[in-house]
Amino acid sequence: MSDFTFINIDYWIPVLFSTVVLFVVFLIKEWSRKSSSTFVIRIGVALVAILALAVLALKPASRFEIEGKQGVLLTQGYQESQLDSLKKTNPKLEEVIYNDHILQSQLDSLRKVFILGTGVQPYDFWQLADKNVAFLSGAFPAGINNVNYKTSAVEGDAWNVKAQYAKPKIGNQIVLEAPGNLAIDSVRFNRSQDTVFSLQARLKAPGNFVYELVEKDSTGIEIQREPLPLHVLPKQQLNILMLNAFPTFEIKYLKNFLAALNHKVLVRNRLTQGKFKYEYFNRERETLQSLNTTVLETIDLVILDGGAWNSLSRKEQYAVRTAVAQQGMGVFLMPDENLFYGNQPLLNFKFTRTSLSEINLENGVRVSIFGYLFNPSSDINATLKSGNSLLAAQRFLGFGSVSTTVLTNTYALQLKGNKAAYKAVWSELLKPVLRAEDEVVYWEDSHQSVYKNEPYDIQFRTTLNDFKVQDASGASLPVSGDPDIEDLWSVTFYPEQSGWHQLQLKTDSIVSTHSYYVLDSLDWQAKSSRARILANENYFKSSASEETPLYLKQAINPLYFLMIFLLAMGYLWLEPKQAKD
Amino acid sequence: MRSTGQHNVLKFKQRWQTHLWLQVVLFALIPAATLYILSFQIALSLLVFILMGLIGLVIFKPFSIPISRVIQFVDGNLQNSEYSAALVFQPKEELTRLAQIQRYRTEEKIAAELKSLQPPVHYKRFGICLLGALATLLIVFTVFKATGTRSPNHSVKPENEMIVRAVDSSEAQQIPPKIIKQSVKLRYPAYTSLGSRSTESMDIKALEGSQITWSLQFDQKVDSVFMESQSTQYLMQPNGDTYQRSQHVSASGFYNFKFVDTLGNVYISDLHSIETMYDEAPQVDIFNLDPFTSFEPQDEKTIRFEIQITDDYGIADAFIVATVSRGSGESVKFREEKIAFNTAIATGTKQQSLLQKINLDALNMEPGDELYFYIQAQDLKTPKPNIARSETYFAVIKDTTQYEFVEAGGMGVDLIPDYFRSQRQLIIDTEKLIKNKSKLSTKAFNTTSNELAFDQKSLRLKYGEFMGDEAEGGLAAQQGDPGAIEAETDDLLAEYSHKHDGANEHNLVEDEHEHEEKEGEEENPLEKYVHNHDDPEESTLFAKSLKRKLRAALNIMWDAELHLRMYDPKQSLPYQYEALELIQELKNSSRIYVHRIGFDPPPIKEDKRLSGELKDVDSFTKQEDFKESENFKALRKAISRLEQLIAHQREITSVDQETFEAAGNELAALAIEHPGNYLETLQQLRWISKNLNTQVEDLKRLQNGLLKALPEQEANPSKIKSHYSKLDALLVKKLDADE
Repeated sequence: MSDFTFINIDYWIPVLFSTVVLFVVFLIKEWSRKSSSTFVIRIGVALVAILALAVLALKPASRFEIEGKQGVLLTQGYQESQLDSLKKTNPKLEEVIYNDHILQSQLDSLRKVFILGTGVQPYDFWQLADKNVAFLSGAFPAGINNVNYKTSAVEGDAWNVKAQYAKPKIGNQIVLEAPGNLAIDSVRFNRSQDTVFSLQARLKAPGNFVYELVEKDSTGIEIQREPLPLHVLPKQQLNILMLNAFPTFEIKYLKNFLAALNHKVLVRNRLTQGKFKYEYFNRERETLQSLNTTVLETIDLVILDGGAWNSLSRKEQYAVRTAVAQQGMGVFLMPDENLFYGNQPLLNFKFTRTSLSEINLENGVRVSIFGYLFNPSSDINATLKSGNSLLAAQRFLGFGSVSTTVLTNTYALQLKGNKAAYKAVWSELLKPVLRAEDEVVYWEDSHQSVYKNEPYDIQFRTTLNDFKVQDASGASLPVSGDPDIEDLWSVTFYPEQSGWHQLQLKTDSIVSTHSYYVLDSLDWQAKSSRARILANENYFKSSASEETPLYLKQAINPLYFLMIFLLAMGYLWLEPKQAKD
Repeated sequence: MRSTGQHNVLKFKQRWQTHLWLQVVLFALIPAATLYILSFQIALSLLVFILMGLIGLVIFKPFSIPISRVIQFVDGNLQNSEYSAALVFQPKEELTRLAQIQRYRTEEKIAAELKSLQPPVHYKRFGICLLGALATLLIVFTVFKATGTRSPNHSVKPENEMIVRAVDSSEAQQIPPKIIKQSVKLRYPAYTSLGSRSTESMDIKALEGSQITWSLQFDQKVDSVFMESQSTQYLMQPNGDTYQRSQHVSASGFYNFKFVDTLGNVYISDLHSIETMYDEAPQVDIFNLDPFTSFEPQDEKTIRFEIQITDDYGIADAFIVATVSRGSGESVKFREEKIAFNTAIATGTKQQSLLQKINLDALNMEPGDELYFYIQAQDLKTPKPNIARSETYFAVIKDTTQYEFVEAGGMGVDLIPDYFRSQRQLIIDTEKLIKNKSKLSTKAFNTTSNELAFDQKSLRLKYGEFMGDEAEGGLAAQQGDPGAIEAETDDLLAEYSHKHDGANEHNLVEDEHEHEEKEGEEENPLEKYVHNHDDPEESTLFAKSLKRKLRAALNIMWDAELHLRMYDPKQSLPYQYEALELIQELKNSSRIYVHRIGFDPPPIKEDKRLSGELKDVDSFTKQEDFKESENFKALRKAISRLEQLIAHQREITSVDQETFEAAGNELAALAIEHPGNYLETLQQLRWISKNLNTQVEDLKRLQNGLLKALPEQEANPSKIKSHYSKLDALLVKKLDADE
């Protein structure tokens, strides 16, 4: 089937306009001879001539659906056997080799495209958007094809790397190496099935580091080395306020633990009515008569017990509540027996009784509990769990949260000599409830792997205006703002060098930096192949069913219209002469 | 042309010579090989080989055995040669016929027997010579080694050679001075009597108190030489062309040398460690002795045991410290004695085993005495010896005498008089009377019963005294009653009764027949102790409940006496038992006395609680800062900076140098326990802080070492980063409103 169409259909408006103008001009010119008997004929012929001219300008064409060719896009890691069997069914198959870029012209004539191998780069998807594509993925390549770890951590943290190794060789081992090739942790494969392993390191120093996963064979010869860029943040000094109705051992040990970590700790223990014992650790002595918004503004966490809450005045209680809800301050309720049946400060947690008096944490440490467990519900967030038992939970109140636990006498861990476990438990308990650090510029780490010469998109949120974003060499980068969300911005650029680099956001007064690591194009081959296969599978899943028809426009020979035009012109030229005669 | 005889003799001579040559070669080779094994010095060994070879040639002379000697030997040792071997070497023509025949015969014999003849080689002499040579060699070798003058001119061994670098490398075109001789002389403390030791190795392990002397010799003239240790510089004293410095070892640490050449260029050596070892305290072990030994008084009271004392550098002295205790409680007495061992302690020995006997009689111990002893040993360490002591052992001589329970011993005064026991006696007598009722006549029975009643009465009166009752009055009053009874009973009984009563009316106590001795002494036992008798109710002897009990006992005694007076002892017996029980309780109450003196606080009135004066209670404030000294700030910074230096291949700036120097100090503090472990890292830090070793590989190694050395950090709660926008605020508000 063929349709009639114009090649220059896009110009129909100016063409129509000129046509009308010409016709009007002709009418005006002929108006003087309207009485003539040939007037109507002349008008008709002129219309034909002008239309012929217009058609000449628009270039008419007929549209044919044509039988397109089938093509195969050979991407990295394709298998010859797959290509051979494709060729057997379709000998005219056109081969296009994909080398991380593609030219539209190579795809034009293809009706159906098969993709073999690991697929095209996601940034090339748009080129294939209107094609009928069948993605025939190969097997995932052997190697570490998935890795999960935190790209930024705080020094002192236990840092975990969890990775999956596809088709390992028996006897090979993976070693986690710290900078300076210091081996920290390792795993040896003793079966050839896909293995998920987890390696751990304790971070000792702040800075931008590159840890590495090194694969070694059974004789210790290095096979491969994959970088794990890690940004280690320096320790922060927290500002903690502890309020107690009376001194307990739990408070005493917690206070010592936090103070020894060099946090600012202010402890107020009630001695008797209106008399307190104030302890200032790592901070200036200052009078704390009553809690108010100004005092609480700088506090990251308030640790208090029920008695201390009740002894606060109504105004102070309101100030604490406001600080939590509006400024994101955290409150940790030091549990006591009353917490489980009395009125709870700030927010209510629900508990169920249990016959247990001790429970094993997930790391196997045994701790005492009050004989209660949290009721799981949707409005609490478990911060410490053991199996299905919730041992600590937080509830959000505005921007901040309130947390408490059912653990008791945890200081016994220290007395038993298990100081590390004590510290780990309390770090876990307090971490989620701390006031989040509000940054002027918040860089949203998308956890994507950034490769050399591949586009890197980074988003950031800021309320600043007049700012400039510069890359490491000081060149300004174009920033685009989100049309809907006022303070969301994004930058896309192509890093040229691998390694750690920094982006800087500058205003007159503020400089915010973001460190990012650019992988070399050969890093994490197995992982990027797997990710690409998955992305391709996902993207081309829908397009495989329908075949898009290919059309070709064939121009009609313009000579016909020129002939019509010339004949019409000839008549119009000759007709007045004939009339004179 | 030689005859066969000549040929055979010459062959024999050859064999002889071969043996001698073999001896010479062995004589030269064995000592040379021994020396090489000992010293690994090929040149020296070759020299010895040649020397010994020459000596061997002189001794064994293998090249010149005169033929006459061979013939002489053959003649002497070949049985049938008939001293004609010489004939073989004489020309035939010159011989007589007989001689020719003899020569022929001899040739035959030589041909047959000379092969089995052994040449006269003295392996015994060879062995002695060889031993002598070996011994001499060993002596010479040890002497050389000990005096350290083994090879006066040889330079420092490669493994001990110190790496020396110019601090300012740009000026180093000129050939730097080289250390051609270095030595460390270690003089052990005098008490160890170990003398001194010399070494080239600059990493020193030394006993505390040793003196170390470094001496360095350079191949060219240098301006000055320093030793740097723990960020202090010590100038080394020039002594001829060697530079020396001595120091007493007191603690572990690091040091390096620094020297300035004549042009003012500064060079530093790499870092070396001094590891201090400490003299251990002696160890004292006692064998074959139980911790606790006891003896019967009649036994032979001797303790035997073995002692072993060991010390790493020599024992100075040891003795037994014995303590004898006598008596118990407050009267215990102690006597301490130092007992020398039976065998004298040999001062300076490292281990000594002793057999020791202690005779308890020799210590004047008596039954009941206890002996505690331990062994104290000290070593030779100066100025303060290490002292060690053994476990303490006990020995006891059993005591046969026993302590009696003292009634109410804690009270100081024995308040309970002995009469209290008479109630039991009364019961026994009463029971006896009941038992013998059938045997006795009615009269005798009644009389006895009446007598018992009287005893019961006196007992009651005695107790009455404790109660503060008027003794006489009480007795008089009671006499009315029994009198009335008496009137009813027959005269005989009255007679008995009166007789006793009369006798007792004067002095009741005296008449108590159960405790006659005491009665005389104490007319009224309480008078000594009790001063306020006037008011019976105020009597301070017993508490109120006791008084009530005693009153009840007295009343029951009344009943008991009544039934006895009615000649019905059977009826009386239960009362007597009851009285006895009450009296027992009274006795027990007196024992409980001690328990009752504990403080029993008065109950607190609820409304008074927490209402005390608080004006003197003050708020208390305390301020404390935890120093970050243990935090190794510079070390952590250095690790981070190294990563940047490695990644970007940057130049080290002066700020970096400061950081690395600070890190070096922190690491040195960390390393002081085990200087050897961190030596390399520390060394690298020092180079890098002087901007010397800046190859990427070096930096990586340094980073590795630092990360390894840095102690693990503790778990620490930390904040997360976030950003709140207007949208978030709106959302939170909405959420809160919905709740």
